[in-house]
Amino acid sequence: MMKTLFLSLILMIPVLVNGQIVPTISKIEIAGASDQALSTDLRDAMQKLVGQRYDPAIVDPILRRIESELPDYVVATRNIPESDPGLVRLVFVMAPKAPGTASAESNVNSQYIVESVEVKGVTQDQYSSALHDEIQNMIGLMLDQMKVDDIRSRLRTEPMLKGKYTVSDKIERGSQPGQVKLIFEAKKMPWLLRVTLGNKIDINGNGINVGNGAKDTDIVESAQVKGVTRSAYSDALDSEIQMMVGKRVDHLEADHLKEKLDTELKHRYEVKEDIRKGTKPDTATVVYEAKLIPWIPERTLPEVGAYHPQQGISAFVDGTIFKGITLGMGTDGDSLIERYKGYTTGYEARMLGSPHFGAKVRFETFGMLWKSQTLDNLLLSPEMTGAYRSRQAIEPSVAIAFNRSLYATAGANFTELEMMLPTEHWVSAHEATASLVYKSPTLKHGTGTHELTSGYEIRTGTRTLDSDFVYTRHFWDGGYEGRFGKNKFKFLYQAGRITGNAPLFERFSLGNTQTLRGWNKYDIDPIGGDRVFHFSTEWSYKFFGVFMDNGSIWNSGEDATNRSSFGVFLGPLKLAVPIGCSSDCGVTFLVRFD
Amino acid sequence: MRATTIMTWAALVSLLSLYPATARAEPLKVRLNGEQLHIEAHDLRFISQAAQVRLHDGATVIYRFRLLVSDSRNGDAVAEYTYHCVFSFDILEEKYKVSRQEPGYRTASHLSESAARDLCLDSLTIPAGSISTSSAFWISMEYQMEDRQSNVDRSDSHSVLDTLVNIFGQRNKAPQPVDMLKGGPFRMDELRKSK
Repeated sequence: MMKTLFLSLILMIPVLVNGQIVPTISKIEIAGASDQALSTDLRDAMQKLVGQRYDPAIVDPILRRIESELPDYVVATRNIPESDPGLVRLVFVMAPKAPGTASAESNVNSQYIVESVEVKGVTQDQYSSALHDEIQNMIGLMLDQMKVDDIRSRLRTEPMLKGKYTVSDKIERGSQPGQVKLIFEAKKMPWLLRVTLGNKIDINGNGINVGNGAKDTDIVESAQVKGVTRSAYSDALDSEIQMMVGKRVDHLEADHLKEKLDTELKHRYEVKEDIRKGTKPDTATVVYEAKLIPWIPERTLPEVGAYHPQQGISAFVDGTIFKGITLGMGTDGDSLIERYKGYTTGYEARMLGSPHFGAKVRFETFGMLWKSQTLDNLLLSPEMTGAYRSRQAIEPSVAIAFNRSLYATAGANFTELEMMLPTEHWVSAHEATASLVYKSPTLKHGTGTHELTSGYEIRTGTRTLDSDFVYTRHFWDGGYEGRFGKNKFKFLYQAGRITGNAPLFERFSLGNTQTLRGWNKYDIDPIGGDRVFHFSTEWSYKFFGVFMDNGSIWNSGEDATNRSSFGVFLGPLKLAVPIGCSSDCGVTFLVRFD
Repeated sequence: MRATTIMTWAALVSLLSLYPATARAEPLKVRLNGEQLHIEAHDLRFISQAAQVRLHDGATVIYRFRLLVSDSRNGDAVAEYTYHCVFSFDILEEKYKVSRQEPGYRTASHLSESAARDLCLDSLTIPAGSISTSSAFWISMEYQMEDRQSNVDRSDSHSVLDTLVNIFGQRNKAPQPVDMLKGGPFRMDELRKSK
């Protein structure tokens, strides 16, 4: 009795372990290839499986041998239950290898017939009739997982569904044996996704396009160059551009042709590449828009991002924001004796009918902050006009460019100053302005490049313009920059002279994050000077560099004191040491973003 | 409620919350069969709830397995093997089918869920010849469900934001987690003896 029970338990072990009866192999079959393709040894080994319990450990070595003898086939086994529940036929199924389709073929439901196909969540008029027909054509055929994937993907990209719906698929039991129902479910995406990400905002290497992004699979229906005449670029390039038509969108090729066009237009034009949806579905157009680069540069206030331990943080930005409208704002305690904060706005046309002419008008309103050293020194200098609380200005000017390197400006500056002493009152600093600016093209010599700049500016306050200040201010600046591999040499100079009684914002100063670095302008000359000379030398390798500054600031009738400093820098971070500084000064840490 | 009662309940809740972690923490075992090391982790129910939903919708679910052999418990892998098991669920017969994709294609159908899992795990092998016979080694098994449906849909995405739309629009928004099981130290000579 005990022996029988023990034997029963032994026989039950496979059932207990796997939760099902482990069947015995009743027969071996080969499908998909002739058994003659296999060696006699292998066929014998396969037949030896008959009568054994199905176990992957004994089937696997056979599979490996078949794979090694038929390397171009995939081999699988299939257990087909016999009428006796404990028996199975073991079929070795062989099929030629077809890369990439394995997972689709592995779906056990692919053996069933599609009884019906339904698209839920959207109406039939929300997707094309061609796709609808294709979906209905799946009925009566075996379930094809790759086809299901393809239909799901295409439904998702239908114009009325794209970016608004997600599509998933599932199958359910059919009403007849061996049949399944195929269901595609379209679900609306959350509102926030539909109006933002789903709204076809296309970010690619050429900018941001809203609602017009083309796909890589789209066919180019046209390619054109706008903004220049056809004779501006070669026939060869034109035919290369036209070769894109009729082919799929090739971003690499489009970028390459943009560079070629840029070169043929001798970098005088700014070329923008725009690949957008075509007029028909699944088409795209390629447009190169060439825009002449103006000869006259943007004439905005100097932008500053700096830190000086005695002068604080300066951050001022100014630039064109939209179609010539300029906007600037921030605070700057670095450039002048005063610290100004506020905003400036204006309009600038850099090409008035021709690249030779430009014009602009700027309004600015700034509040002032003064250092105590400045205010104290002003009390000791009664001949000078005092500090002001705010200044507001309007500055119209015109520019004429003689060529790409040389341009001149002429204009006026009507500044109103809100004076602090002796009582609050307004005074006018109205001046006529003119300048001449030269910037050489980048000259190549050997492995190096060279650039020269030079400028002269005159500003004069006159009674003719109803100014309370009568003065003339001359300012020269310029420099040289040479690059030799990763080495860079820079020499900069500036010189200035004021005659007459100029307001404080026109006076010169040295000792900030750009000039006489390491010195403090409020220690050198807290109310500025009417004479200035400065020369700066810089060498850098990649981000690291050394510099030396030399300069003088003084007033007419006084002796000029020459001061020097040197230092090292790593990117915008600088350590500067004043030379011959007798007071409490040492290494100064500065930050300046150029 | 008395403080001791609260403490008892808190301890019970803590223990219960720890249960999944401890269940998962069971170490990985290996078995030598011929010149192949086979992974043994019979209690590992790696087919997730999300995968089950997909399988019962008639889709295929792919699990990727990475077997990493290292010289020390937390050392760098000295050998790495990747396998893919493809599961599908026969919605009429309510049985599972499993296929191993590489290095050789193997498949078996009409399986229970546990049998499909075990068959998949058993097909993950490491050549014994790639492991030193004298020194100890550890084996880690990383496994992760691959999002085949999302990958198919994403393949035709043109822009970054298109892809984001696809990702956020999927039924399972969270990325598929990578789980790991580790075992060791093992020694080849000991495994040969036990064989």
